[in-house]
Amino acid sequence: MFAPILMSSGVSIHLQAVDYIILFAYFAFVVGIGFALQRLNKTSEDFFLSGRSIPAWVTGLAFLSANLGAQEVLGMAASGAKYGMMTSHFYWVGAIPAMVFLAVFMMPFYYGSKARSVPEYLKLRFDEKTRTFNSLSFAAMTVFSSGISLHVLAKLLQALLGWDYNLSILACSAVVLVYVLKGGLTSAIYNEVLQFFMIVLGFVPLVWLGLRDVGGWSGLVARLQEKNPAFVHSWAGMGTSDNPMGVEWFGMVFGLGFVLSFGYWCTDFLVVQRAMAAKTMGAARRTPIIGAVPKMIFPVLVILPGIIAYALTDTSWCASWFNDGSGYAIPGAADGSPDYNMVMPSMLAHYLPSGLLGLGMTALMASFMSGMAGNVTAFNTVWTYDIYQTHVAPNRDDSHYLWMGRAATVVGIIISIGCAYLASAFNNIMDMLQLIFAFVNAPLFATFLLGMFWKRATGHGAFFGLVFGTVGAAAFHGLSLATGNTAGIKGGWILQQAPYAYRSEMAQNFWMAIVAFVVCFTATVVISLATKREKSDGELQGLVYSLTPKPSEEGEPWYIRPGVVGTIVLVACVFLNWYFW
Amino acid sequence: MDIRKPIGQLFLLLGVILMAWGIIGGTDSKDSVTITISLNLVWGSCVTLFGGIMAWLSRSTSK
Repeated sequence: MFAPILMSSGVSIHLQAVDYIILFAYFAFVVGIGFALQRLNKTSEDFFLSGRSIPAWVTGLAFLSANLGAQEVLGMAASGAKYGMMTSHFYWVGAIPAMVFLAVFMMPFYYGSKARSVPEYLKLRFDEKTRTFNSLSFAAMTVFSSGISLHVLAKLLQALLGWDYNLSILACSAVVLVYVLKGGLTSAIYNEVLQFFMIVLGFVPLVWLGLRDVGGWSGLVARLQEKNPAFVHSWAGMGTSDNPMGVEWFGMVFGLGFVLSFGYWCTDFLVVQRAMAAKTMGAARRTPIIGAVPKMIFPVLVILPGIIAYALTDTSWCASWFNDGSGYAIPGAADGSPDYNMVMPSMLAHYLPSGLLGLGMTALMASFMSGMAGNVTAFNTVWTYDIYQTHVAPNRDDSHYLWMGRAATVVGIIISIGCAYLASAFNNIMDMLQLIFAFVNAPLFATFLLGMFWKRATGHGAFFGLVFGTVGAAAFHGLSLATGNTAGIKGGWILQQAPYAYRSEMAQNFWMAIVAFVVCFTATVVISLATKREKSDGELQGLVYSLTPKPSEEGEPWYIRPGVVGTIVLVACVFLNWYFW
Repeated sequence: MDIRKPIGQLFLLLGVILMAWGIIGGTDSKDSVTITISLNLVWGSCVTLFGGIMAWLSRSTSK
């Protein structure tokens, strides 16, 4: 969903001994957790699903942290500096409603069906070809995402600390490899929880110092009102696309808030796997809601620094935004334009003294590595269960699949390293991969929506609906272009004079998702009605809403009922949207 | 394993390191940020408190 992050400005950070001590202490604990959990991995279910034994608060924070990778921390601060309060849409529109929907409506099917992965649910609900389509695209997507995350981390360490690129890649991969190989999903989840607290405790001082520098909240608002009033509002300028994001309200609500958001939070195995590791159905349903609570206030940690950076930067006196030596300023790229991707690292360097700087840098590195570990654990599960066990070696004993899971972890890391070098050699490869992922991911939510809530949806309908949705997304991309982009990888490759022009790439992407969803949804309905139902009502019990007994919440206190707490979270989310209107 | 135990241990350690760094005056003062208190000492105390609470919670459940 975010632009690739490349570092080009001259921000550098000088760590002292205390910073390195903090950094190494954190990584020693991370690896130590992997070793401590090694003895718990006796079966493949222990390794891939944590033996379904983890309490809800742990899976809830891991659910949130699995998404808290490189793009989130650097990308959201960058967006805060570029778009202001509108960036909050990625949380209060593009995440919270989908997380609540997953908890209340979809988790009972994922968990209750005893599927071991999201693709396996597709097998149970539809057929083998739909599962294979999803598992192959997902497996490829996870290792490439992991590789891109690794590349960005190594580039960041090279740019900020002067560390060797190759050494950074190998060292970070080795740490992730050790703790995932030893502790499996449990280790990844535990480290994600550790990372969550590290990010909170590492970034709070930065936010406090930044706010203090800008004159507190009122000082920040006053500066923004003076510089660019649109930065203070999340919705006020969205009647048309004439706003910093270049997206109008419908594209935002339907494209981001429905298709992309629900497609990611409700169907991406990377995050759903954390909920599936919970020890009970109730814990699995509470997982996304527990994650939603901190997610709602995370903009304070990751977006606010970007907005503060914009407010502190003097943009009035010269064309390029360079520091005049008197205070903080957004760093400039080589071509004189502001380098938004360096906002968070430059804020860390500017405000935090050594000691706290070590804590902040550790939080930044932890987010990258945790994102990588999340991808690798999702990859090894889908590879082993949905591809290897299904198509290569069925009916082997459990120890064989446990061995294969470990081998897939090593191979997944090796492929990630290869992808990192690929990304470093070809800048366009990152754009290309993100584009292909968007084609594949955007229509997926339509398949799940129909699969879970319409018993008439058939396997042929689901499979060809996905294929048509993917082709529809690609065709739309070839016929559309954002202002300022040239025809090619950014779109317009079918017709030079693209008939659909957008003010920004973000608007183009949101509309591409809408088109993919509508095409997939329509094709699935039409083809399902034209083909014979393969599964009876009995076979679809536990897989389709109307045929499944609703989980009873009777006798449970209100604060652990997903429906009640989900409603409270949604009301709070509506309030935040209203307050920052 | 109760995850609160390693979380508590790690943040206790990090908090103590920050406090010690703050006390011995090893702060790298930032010219642009005039702070009359030692940030490392104050925030190190908060981190230590958090680590202590987590460690205590893990201890109380393991009994």
